Amino acid sequence: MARKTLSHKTSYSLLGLVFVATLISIFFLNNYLNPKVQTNWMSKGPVTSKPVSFELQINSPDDETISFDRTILISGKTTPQAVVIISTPSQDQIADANLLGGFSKEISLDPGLNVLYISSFDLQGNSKQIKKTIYYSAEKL
Amino acid sequence: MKLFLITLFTLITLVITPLTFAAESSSSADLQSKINQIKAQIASKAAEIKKEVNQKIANKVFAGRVSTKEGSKITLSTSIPRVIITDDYTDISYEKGLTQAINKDNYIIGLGDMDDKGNLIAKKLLKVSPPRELTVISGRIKSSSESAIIIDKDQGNDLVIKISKDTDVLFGGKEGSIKDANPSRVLIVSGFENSDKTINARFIYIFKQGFIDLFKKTASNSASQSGKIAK
Repeated sequence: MARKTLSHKTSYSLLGLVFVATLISIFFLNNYLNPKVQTNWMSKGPVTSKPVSFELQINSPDDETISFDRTILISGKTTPQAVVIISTPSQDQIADANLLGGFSKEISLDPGLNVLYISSFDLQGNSKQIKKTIYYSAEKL
Repeated sequence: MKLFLITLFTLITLVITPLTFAAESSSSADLQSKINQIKAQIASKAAEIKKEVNQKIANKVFAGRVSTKEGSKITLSTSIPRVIITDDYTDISYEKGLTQAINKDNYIIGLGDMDDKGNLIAKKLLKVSPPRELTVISGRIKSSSESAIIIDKDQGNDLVIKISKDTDVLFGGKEGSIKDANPSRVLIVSGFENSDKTINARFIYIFKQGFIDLFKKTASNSASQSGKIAK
């Protein structure tokens, strides 16, 4: 029976292949089992951000809804440190926007139809207004 | 040396093979657990979406002036045309002093749920007087007296704000008075417009300072400081 001997070169190549295969397996296995660990450095945004214009967004309440509660929360986002005026048919209230522009205020509704005017102003003379129609009913329809 | 290499190779093979199998079985169990997790997440998300959709279509109110009325279908002249559909179960009521009929330009309020076409199936329909349009604007104070404040609404366009004992005044977020309305300060006013374009102020907010003119050096006609509301 002829005994085949491995040359140094072949042995080293085999060992190298085994190591490379092991490393690749470990890498893919790790990525598969811990997908959250993956970070895509290419998806990271630029260090600078685009200049933002004056904004006003209302998160709550939804427009054209019936509220069965007398008090509702008005919340949203505007330009940082702007002054927000929330006007109901019978009263006006102030909500100061924080450093990130977020604001929230609990207001009391009038019975029946409430057209809410949510207006935001800053000292550069910018302003925006959003109207919301809310109907307050004490009883279910 | 050769013996050492062969031993090392054998050892690596012996160690890697069971590890691979272990990893495979572990990944299979992990996969099943992941599938279950995703299933649970989907079910939870679907329930959330269903709840949101229900909230968006239930208990809605459409209000506005009647544009057209064809049988049980009423279209309102709102910025997005709204359609209210009445049926035998719709409870229709009229504000005292208004005629008991719904015609073009009448102001109505429909309460109910929305159908899949976005029309409101009215459970209640109310004919009421139209709500008064509120004006909320800002401007630079030009002059003030006990009964009125004149502001520079647009460059060169003055606006007279009438003050009454019912006018609430805030100065920099705290209780204030008309005495705080010094020229060059900025105010926000909320009130109702009269036929002569003056405003009966319901609420006034006076800033402690004037407008910050960021473009002072290159001021142009386009650099309005009026605080015109962009609707």
